[in-house]
Amino acid sequence: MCHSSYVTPFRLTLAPGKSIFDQVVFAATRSILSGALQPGQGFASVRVLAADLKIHPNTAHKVIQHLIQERWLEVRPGIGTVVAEPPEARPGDRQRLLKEEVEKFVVEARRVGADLDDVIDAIKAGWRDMRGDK
Amino acid sequence: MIIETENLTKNFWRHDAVQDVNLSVPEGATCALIGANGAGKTTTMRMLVNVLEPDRGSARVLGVDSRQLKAADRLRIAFLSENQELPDRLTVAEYFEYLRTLYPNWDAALEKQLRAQFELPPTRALGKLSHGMRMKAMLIGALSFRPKLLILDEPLSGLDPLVRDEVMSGILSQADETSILISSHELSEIEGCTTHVAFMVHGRLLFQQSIEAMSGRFREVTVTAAGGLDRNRLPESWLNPQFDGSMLRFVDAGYESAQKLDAQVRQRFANVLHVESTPLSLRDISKSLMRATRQES
Repeated sequence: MCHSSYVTPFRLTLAPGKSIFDQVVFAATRSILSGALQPGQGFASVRVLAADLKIHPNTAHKVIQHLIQERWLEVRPGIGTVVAEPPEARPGDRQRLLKEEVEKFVVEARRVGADLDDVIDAIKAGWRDMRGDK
Repeated sequence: MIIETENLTKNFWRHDAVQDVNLSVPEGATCALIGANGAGKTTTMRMLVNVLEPDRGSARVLGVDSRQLKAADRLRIAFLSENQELPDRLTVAEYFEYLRTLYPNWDAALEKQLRAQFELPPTRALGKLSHGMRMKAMLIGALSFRPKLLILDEPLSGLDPLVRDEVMSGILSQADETSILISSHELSEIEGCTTHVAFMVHGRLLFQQSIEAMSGRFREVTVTAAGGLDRNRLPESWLNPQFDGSMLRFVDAGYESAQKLDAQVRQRFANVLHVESTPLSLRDISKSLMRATRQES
């Protein structure tokens, strides 16, 4: 390559049944929140993202547009697309997570027979992973 | 539609290679043509580019009847197949010099970039290239004139994982400007870039759909019951049912919702404890379709 380009700092193992777009958006926001991608850092171009993750360039384009629109990324003229400061949550997001998502999760945990301690340990482990102490 | 066929049919001796295929590929799509060996994928592709003439029916490619494709149309269509013949005595460099003269729309910068990326030895004769390098050379030949339509017959077969990656990234680098029809058995490799799927069985087109619609209607289902399950007559859309005591496993090819599936299962079996359905990858969907439609011969 004759020009410098940013690599994609996450991998994608396609999970069946979910749209590729959703999976890539999730992986990207996860790596921003975990600190693997820092604000101001360059984000992969459409072509690089498509080639790295083996996805259709149109999907890669949609992902980047979506991340810009949701303010995870911003366009700096002359530089390209860079990681923005994590956007503030929309009003209601917190409420939705703590009520609805947790309820769904608890129901599912009960169904598979996990007990409260297992669940709390798993959440703590997941929380630590996301702190991005790397 | 960039490709549209109408009752496309080809018989070899008395064997129906392709039977009444109505294939439509929308512009901009990357359509995976999938099917077991001998399903008619290659024959279909060869008719699209007029290497073979249909016995019946017709194909329109870029709006032109495949039998009427002119030299000017050929400048917009690339066809790559693993058993394509190359001028073996030419060196890599001579081959591309030759191609450059054939295509007024040749993009020399792209050729140069891909040749550097693929590390093709310029002085080596084409006949002395490994299979992987031959495929790379053909792919550069197919991509460098920036075709509107790329027809790829098994571009990944016989390649090692590293070369497969390189070939895929070459294809992907142009997928946004080109419509692609690709046949491959490397389904995990192509799933991410596929927008549409066309599935062929014994010379016929079983279905064609967007990949989202297709993944939406296939689920692997496990039914657990208290006590044994009777081998009732099952719906035709339940593929490859396997009974194992109080368990039944199958692939539902007509899945709509968990509620509906649950009701269908409980309607047939009295003592159902649990119905679980999980989505499937393109590879697993294809495997179950191939298994379900395998002909006993």
